[in-house]
Amino acid sequence: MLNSILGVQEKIVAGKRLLLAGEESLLRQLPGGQWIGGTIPYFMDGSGGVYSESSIFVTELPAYASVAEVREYTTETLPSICVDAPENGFSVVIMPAGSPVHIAYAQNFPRYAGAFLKPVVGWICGVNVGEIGKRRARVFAGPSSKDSDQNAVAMHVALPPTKQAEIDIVNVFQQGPGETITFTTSGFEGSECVINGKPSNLAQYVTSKRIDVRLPLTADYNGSIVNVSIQSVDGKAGLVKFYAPVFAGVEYRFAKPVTDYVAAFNAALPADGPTAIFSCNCILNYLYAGLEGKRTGYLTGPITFGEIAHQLLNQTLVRLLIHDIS
Amino acid sequence: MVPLVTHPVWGELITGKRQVPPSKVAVNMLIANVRLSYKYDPTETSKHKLAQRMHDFFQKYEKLYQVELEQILERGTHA
Repeated sequence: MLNSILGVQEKIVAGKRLLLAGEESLLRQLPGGQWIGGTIPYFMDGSGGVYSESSIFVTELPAYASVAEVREYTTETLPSICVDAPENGFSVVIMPAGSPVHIAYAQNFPRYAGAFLKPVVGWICGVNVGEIGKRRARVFAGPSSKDSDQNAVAMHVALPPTKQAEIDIVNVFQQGPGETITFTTSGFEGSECVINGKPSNLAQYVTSKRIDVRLPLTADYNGSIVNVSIQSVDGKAGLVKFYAPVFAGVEYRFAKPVTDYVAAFNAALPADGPTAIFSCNCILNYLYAGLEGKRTGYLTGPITFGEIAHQLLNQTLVRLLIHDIS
Repeated sequence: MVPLVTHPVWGELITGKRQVPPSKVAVNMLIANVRLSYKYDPTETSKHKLAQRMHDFFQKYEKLYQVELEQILERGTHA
């Protein structure tokens, strides 16, 4: 929930283990402690979507969870993130949008040792969208009082043997009936591709078909739909930029339009199961669906420039569940 | 009971010979990613490593994904 800076300071001093999201000037005022944070002024609070430069969104870890370690990661150390995690638990990672770690994680996570075996959840932090290119997103590590616009920060959390963590996603997008698109190279940019078996240029395809680029490319991961959002289309250069990488060999299709995001979200949200101890949603959903003042079910959390549910996702709500397995 | 790493079910999952119903996100992502890895490197060495990965996952989450494992073992259909 959104808290005043005074409220967050009190929680830190009281020894609470916190995941924080807020404006850089606010995060800089916090004392050292068991917390990690990232910059962003957009949130989904209990009352609905909200923009705030004066409040910090706080996710407090439950008492049964213990912080094993808070660690900063560079592109060199990031591949060991799962190895560093406790055997039973989860890791929360925050990365600055556009940073080298953001790019490296997005492209390489599936090949990291321990990937999927140890749950990694988190988000790409950002800035006011009107200040993209003028200000940089930053992450903060509470124990060391360090911050960075280049590196990631992770909180490795251990769970007792009677509990296990599971990451879930809620994606309102479904694959559309359009052409199948594949790429020969993986990455955050796409130009030449294969559309329904024919060599093509993606930018020309998007332009000629007048595709609504608010709709993501979608891939079917054995029934889970994974989105890749469109950042820009340069018809002259024949280049499309993405907010997450496309992967060579994966079949993509543009998503079906969603007419009522909030209704679609509420329909997609599971009615039962354990309560999420953390959730986050995408800035593109916030902006495109006009979520300011609107609620997305019972889920709250920071609005992000990319969501991490094991691997990097776009335009997806991510939630972390803890199950009793005894 | 999680099958041994040498059980053919893992290889069938990795190569796509065994189709499984949509499942929990972690299971879906793991299956999709091991299949993609095998597509990039369709060797026996690669298959063995990926089988180990699948086995370790279901061993660790045997209680959490018991239903999903049963579906893979009993209701998986061959492509």
